[in-house]
Amino acid sequence: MNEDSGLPETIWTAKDVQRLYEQHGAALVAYAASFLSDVARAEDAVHGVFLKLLSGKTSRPESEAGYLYRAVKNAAFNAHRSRARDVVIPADETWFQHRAGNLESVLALQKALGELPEEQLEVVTMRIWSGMTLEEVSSATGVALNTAASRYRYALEKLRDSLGARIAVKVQE
Amino acid sequence: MNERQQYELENYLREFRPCTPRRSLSESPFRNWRRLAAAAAIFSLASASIGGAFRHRDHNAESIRASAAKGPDPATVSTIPLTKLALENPQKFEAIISDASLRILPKINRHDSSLQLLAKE
Repeated sequence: MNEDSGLPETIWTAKDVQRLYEQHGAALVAYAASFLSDVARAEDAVHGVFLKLLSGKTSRPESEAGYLYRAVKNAAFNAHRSRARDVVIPADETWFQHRAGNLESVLALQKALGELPEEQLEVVTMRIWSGMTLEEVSSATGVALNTAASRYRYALEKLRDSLGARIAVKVQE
Repeated sequence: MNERQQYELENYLREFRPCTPRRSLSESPFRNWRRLAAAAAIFSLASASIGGAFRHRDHNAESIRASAAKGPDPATVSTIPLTKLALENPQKFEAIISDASLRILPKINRHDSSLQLLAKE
């Protein structure tokens, strides 16, 4: 709240941007990298969005996370369109890390996420790696709670199909 | 998929973490444009402040002399060295800007401040 007027702040402060970057920055880079398959360009896309917020020219939206995911998706698509023809994608580049350092599992996860439809990728990234509840995801994406829940369930089913054998091994351990 | 399977899958997915960005936000290539913009803004404010002070010299010569005496060090407000410094040594640049802002930025509560005139309008 604005201390002088008692009205809600309409512009993001540097502190807000720092908080949002710490909360969502890494997940947003992974999200953008799923489209771009290039971590450096994904980071550029995410940093571009956050620096625009720091410039103070962006009004505060109703859903901060929703705005960030949309803005990063647009920035990633723009980057993809503008440089699609001249980029060589390294086959083993990673934007996730596994707790036990299993590179093969990381590459499998990235491939599986890359095969999800955009809206399912968005929901599963928000839920698992941005730590948002389904209610928050629903509000951020502007869809009904049931729709967000369905997208999440479909995403998990596809991921289970893609990663099934690995999950089975993990559960047996 | 039943609840148990979903729980297991979610736990499996949480074994993965997005990598921390390799470059911090402050190292972004876009950041330099912000430094340049900051340098330009400080220079513009300094120019406006000095210009405003000279425009009001007939009304308060004493105040203007005091203002000039406390005025900016040309070495620290010139855009060329500032721009070079912003690109080469961001930490030193920010320290100089912070220090300069205490002396150069107009104070709104001063009677000859251009910001106060604008605030009144």
